[in-house]
Amino acid sequence: MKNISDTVSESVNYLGQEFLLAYYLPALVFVLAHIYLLIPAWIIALPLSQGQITKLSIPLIGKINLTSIINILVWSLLIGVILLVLNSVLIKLFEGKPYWIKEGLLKLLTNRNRKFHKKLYENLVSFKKQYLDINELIWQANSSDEQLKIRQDIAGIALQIQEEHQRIEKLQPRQTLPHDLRRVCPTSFGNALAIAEEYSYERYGIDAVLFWPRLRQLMQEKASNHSLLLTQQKTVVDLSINFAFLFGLLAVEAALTSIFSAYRNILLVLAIIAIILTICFYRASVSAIQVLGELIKISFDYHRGLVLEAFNLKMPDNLSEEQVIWVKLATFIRRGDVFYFPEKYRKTETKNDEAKEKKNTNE
Amino acid sequence: MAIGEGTIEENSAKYTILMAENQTLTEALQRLFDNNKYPENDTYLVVTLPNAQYKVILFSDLNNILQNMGYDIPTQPLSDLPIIPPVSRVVSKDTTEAGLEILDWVDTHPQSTVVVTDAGKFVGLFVNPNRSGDSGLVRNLSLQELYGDYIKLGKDPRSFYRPEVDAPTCPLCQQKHFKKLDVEKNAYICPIKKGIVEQL
Repeated sequence: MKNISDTVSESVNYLGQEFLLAYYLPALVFVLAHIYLLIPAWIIALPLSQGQITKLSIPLIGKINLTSIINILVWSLLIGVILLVLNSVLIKLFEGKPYWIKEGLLKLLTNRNRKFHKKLYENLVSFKKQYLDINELIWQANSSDEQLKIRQDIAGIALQIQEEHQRIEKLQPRQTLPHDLRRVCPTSFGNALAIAEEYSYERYGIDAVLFWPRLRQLMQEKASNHSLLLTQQKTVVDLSINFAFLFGLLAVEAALTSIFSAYRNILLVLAIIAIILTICFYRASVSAIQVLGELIKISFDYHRGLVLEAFNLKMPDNLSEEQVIWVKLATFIRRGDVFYFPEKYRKTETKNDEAKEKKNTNE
Repeated sequence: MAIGEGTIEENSAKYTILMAENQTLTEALQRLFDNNKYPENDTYLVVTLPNAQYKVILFSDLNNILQNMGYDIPTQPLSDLPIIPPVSRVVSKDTTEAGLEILDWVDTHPQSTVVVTDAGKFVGLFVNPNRSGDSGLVRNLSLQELYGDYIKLGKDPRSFYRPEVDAPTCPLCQQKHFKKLDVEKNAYICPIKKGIVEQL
């Protein structure tokens, strides 16, 4: 029969090396901090005799034997798995997305960012919307005069958009807030991810949130090196947010314990160290998510064609048509009606044609 | 079509040790040690089986697995060892597929192995050692979603459906528009005069 340490080792193997680094390691540090610092402080604070205190404490900090090590490993595994399950919740928490954070706890930061967004992007967003709307009028034009007027309007708006970009770049060379006001978050972590989410829509008309799971799956097979880079960067993000979260939790626990513990000063120092570490790891997570955001942008720049291929659609020759394809495809996926599918761009070559083409290329 | 000599030479695994089904792991390891230029982490053990089938494993992977196996493993015939996985595909050198097609297939299948044979004899091994996609639950699930909101389709005019025909002239109001289906009345109605244009 397998012993517990084998089961722990197999579980960690099954979950993968990323789990070991991003989830298990922070959980292990958290468990050790509890076993050697917090739980003894809790035991000492209880109204117990010296004998009872020793009896309760020894399994924790006294003799280090196989059982105590296995206990530590099992508890770390359990906390690691909980962190894994709560990963998306934790990311949303760091983004500041939940209503009670965005409009409650961090309302001041949300409002500050919204104000800054208004100053930077309010005009740009309106001009971009107008540009899209006018472009759609061309197909309705009945005469060449009417078409010329619409083209002149488009040129006018394009010039205004250019002026806005120049103004914004003077104020802020690197984008720190998304253009869509709806996506503005109270935290830098959330805004970094929101910028990556809207990047592909602004350039190619691709709804990143909708198409990402599809592209990610295809890249795992057909762009495995880039896919590996994404996984590794996500591991760095998870590692930093898990450490930040657990050190934050530890800080709260240490501060609360210090109220009734005889070791108040030690626990307060522990709380301060934990707070400093939380801030450091949060800052690290912001940098990590910015890099991940860049990798997500690159995925859409270089590999978006994989999704069109999977839907048996061909890549059009110009960007305006490509944008229409992506928006139509997104509409089809979300609404399901056949008339939204960009049929016009369906690949018509048969497999025989492709084989012939390949043969010609080889020759 | 066929797989050219050049394709096999350029793309085949550099170091392979071919063993018969009834040979043992000890003999395979002995062959590896005899060829002292063969690096363990770059040399594949290829076992020939009846009916033109093969099993393939990287020597370094074999060592890792052996640490957790029984003591009699090294003396058992290689064909009986379940730890050596069967090859993903066996293709003849004069296959109808092009060599590039087979290499494409290998590229798109992580951890795949393809044995190339000529008149039933082993001539080459194509491998994709990339583990992306099968090395742990976390990697497989990693970053499968972005956490934001969808775009608002209603605000993007490119998402609108455009009829490819002109609207007909309404018999009730004599204006050009499309009639609308009224589910309650079970009839098509004129959206301007609200009267029934066609009862269903």
